[in-house]
Amino acid sequence: MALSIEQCDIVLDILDEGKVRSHTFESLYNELHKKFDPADYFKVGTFLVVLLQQDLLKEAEQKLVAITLLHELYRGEPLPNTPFANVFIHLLHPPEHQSSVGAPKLEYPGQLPRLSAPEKYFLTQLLSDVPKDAILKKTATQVVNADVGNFQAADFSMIELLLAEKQSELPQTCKTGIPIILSLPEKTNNYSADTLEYEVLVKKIASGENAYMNKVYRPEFVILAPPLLDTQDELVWLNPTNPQEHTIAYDVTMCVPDTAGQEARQLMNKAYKSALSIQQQQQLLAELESDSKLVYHIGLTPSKLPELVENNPLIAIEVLLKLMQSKQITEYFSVLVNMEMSLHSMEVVNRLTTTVDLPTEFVHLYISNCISTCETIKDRYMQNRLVRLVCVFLQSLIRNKIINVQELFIEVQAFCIEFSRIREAAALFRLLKQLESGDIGLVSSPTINSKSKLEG
Amino acid sequence: MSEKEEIERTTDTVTDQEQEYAQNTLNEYKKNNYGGALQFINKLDTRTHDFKVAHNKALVEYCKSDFKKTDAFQKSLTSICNQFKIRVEKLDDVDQCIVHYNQAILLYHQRQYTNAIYIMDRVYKFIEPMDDALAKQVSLFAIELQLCVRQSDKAISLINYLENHLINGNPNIKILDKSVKEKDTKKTQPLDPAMEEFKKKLNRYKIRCYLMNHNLDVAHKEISLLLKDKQNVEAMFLGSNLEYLKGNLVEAQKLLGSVPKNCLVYNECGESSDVMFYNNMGVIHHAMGKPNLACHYFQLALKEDMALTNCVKKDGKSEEKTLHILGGSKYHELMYNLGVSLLHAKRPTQAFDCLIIAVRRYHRNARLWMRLAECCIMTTKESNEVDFDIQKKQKEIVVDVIGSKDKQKVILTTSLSKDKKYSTESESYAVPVPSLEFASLCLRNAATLLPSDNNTSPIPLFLIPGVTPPVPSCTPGPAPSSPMSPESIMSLRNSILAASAYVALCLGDYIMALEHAEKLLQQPRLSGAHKLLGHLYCAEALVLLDKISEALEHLNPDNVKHINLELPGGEDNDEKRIKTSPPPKWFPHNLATAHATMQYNIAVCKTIRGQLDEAIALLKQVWQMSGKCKVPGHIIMLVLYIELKLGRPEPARNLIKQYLFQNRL
Repeated sequence: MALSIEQCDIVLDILDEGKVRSHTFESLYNELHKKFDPADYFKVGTFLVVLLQQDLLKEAEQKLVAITLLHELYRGEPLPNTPFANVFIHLLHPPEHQSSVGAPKLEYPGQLPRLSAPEKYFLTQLLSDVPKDAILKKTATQVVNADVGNFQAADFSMIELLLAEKQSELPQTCKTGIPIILSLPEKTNNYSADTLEYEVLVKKIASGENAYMNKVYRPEFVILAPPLLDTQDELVWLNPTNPQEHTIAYDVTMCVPDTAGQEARQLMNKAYKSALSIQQQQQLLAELESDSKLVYHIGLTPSKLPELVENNPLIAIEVLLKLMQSKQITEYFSVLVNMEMSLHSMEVVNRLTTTVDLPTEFVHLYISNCISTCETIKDRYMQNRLVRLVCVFLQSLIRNKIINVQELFIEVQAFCIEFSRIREAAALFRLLKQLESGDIGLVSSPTINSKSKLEG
Repeated sequence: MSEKEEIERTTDTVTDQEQEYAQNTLNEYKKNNYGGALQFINKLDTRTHDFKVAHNKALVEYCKSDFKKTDAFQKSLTSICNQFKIRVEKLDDVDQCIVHYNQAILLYHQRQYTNAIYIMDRVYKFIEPMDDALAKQVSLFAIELQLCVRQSDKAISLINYLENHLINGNPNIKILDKSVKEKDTKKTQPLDPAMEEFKKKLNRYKIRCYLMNHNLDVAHKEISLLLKDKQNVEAMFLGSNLEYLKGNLVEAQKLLGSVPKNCLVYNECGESSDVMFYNNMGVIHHAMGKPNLACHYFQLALKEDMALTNCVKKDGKSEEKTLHILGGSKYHELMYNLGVSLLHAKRPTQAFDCLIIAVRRYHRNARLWMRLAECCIMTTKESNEVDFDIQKKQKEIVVDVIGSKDKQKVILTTSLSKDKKYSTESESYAVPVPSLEFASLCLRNAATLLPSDNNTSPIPLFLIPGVTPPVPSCTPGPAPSSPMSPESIMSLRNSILAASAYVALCLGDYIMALEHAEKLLQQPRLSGAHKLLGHLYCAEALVLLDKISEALEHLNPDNVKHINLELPGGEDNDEKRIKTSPPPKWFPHNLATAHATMQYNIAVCKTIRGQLDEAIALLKQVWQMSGKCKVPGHIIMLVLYIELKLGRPEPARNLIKQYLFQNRL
């Protein structure tokens, strides 16, 4: 984002003291136009501004040419849209020199040179909306030495307003930058006239990867980096773990005939398909009773449970009770709750609820399942039967305090209302109402909200 | 299992001859005569339909290779499972458990704990039908696996179950129906030696759990019992660990020092007591606040570890390692420890190199990602102290003097702080180098992996039948460290937010910075330092968002009453007794400096707003504090700036001449 050394040379050559005196603005502009690509105009403009700001142009004519070129870079574009518009406004209205009489001279960072009256007049013409062929045919010397008398300052307030608006859109932090180049003249009487030294200085400012002319300083916050995390027991402490203790296992059951459960297993196989005789049932239960581990070896898996429940609910209950400590029991429950609802499955669940602590989710899920089965069944006769069953089942659960009705209140109440034609459903509904009104001290009444929803 | 198979199974008969071969094989196996066992089992080759034969044959062959041909054994097990359609997802027969168990054992020694746990979760469901010996082996292994991934709570529940069932024999399921049974309350018989041994092992696991859970009182009781045996090396390690957790570092060191050298030989035990000793010494010294010494010990441990694991390799090809030393290397754990210590020793780039190795294995550890981010931050800014070194900052104000005589120019700095790095280049953040860009990535990982406030949501009990639950997703884990207490999680969350805000600010992402900083300030418990940071970060982000008045509210010094580094409040619990972190260090050391920083930043806000006179007045106040405490080194530059803005270049020039040239000359 800066000029190359060669490009610096070109600009400096155009602004050469002798050249600016003898050439017209037009010809100088043409030279610049020829030698630079429009993509570089901004860089050239920045360079010209820095030369003006840093007082690096000695003669008035040089300054004037620089200003003119800066303007002509964006020839044809409306002034407020050009990047350097503010520079011209500043040139026309320089900030106050002195805050009060006798106070030291004020000098702002990046301040531009002060223009003489003829120069200002020329700049006014340049900025005005008039054909500029005539004025650009002049040389800088002609302009500087012209006598303009007391010219009327043109009104650029519209442009100023536009620019001010644009500025106000920017966040304040963007407007705080000042150039990092600061004049610090040595106290001396011999002025440097060495052009070589001058060129070195200018190029240091304007060229290179990190050209100073492109840089600004903004007020900086002090930002603190956070402290290291303060935490306990983070580093890994190593204790002996005896990894060699964990080793592979030989299957000692290889070719050992599984005679122990042979009969029980055969009975179970039958039990999946049809009801066992009383005698068979007793035999199976006795075998299971005699060996507490046998239940794991009779070939029952969760997927076979529904068949067992349908054909031999009593066996299913006993087996499930024996499996209560098994890690697999939840899988059995899960199958049971999702199987098709029937008298037998309900019997099994009912027995289980009165015998062991069943997980509440399980019971709730089962009830939901029952209710939805009742609602969807097509056969009217079967439906009535099932509804009666469910109602009796629910009453028993409620009276035995196995479920908390409140958690299922809406669902159960809706169910009762839907099947109010059935006597048992009406009875269940009454039970619910009694519970709600607190006649039976089982549960507290549900919220008004749910009540109104039901009745509404 | 289909109908047909079922019939086949029930009708499957074993001839007497076959039974005899099987018995002989077992006898030879028990005598560790694997060659003999193999001869017998080969005679059972006719039983092609019997996966137990195939399984045992592969196993005996593996034993015969001195447990070295692990790959081959693993492949045979897989092919047996394929051949007999045995799948762990569909496990419903206790007979199949042993195949899966053996696969899990191999995975454990290869340090693939998650996969091993996936298998064992299913195998464990059949713990009741298993025969006693196998059940014990399986349950101890399940506990060890949970400890490997530092899930001490799960391990404890496994232990409780074992104590209730395998040892005491009372089921803990409440039986309401009294008639069901009450008969097997056979009174306690004298325990057989095998049971005695099992109980001992279980006890050791319990102690490890208690230490991991920071249940120090119970651990103390159990360890004192163990320590009565003066030769018990394991007890010495555990005892030292306990003292370390309590903060009795000298005691811990003494106990650790009493461990005889090389008492656990790597090639025999699969772990080396020397590696453990060096590592634990490092851990103790780290807690003492001697990170450099800690690093030294960790390096010794690493050297030892590498020597052991590499020398095994030299014996032959890598597959020729015996099973129990396959996964004995503690490389990643040691790298983690070394990395954290290096970070505390202010060697962030080296720390980064270590932790980036550790994170490859422990990529689910939120704290580890946080440490990585800290390395990145410290690499860019070693300490906040640099910003308070006025002498040094003075010298940095002028970067160049060019030209001479009347054309002499000074070039001022563009920024005194080195934190900011607004990069316009679109380089990838994912390059693992200690940069702020990578830090932001680490912090995002850390935040994602942070355990949530409410404990892990319960897994729904009932699932749709026939659909097996998917492999548990990678839950964030504390491994390799012990599980974090809710308190530690809270302070980790605060730290992640603070670091995220800082990094976002430095990278110029002030919208995210504001979000993180505001979230930080909303945390229920906040250390004084984090409160200060939250306000500072909010203020700076708000200024960049052009909301200077809001920023000024954050900079009110009354917002910050102290700059303690600990979380305030909290009940007294066990966690309070854990004292293992090195003494914290942070600049600023005192509240005055913190306030000076806030006031300086107020001056910056006022300057930006154009209230230059107010700003100058504030800066004078801050300057007067410099006698008592450290103040930001940026003050002079800001004064210079304001003078220039006021159109008074002379005072500015004088400042430059006064401070800078005298330093230059």
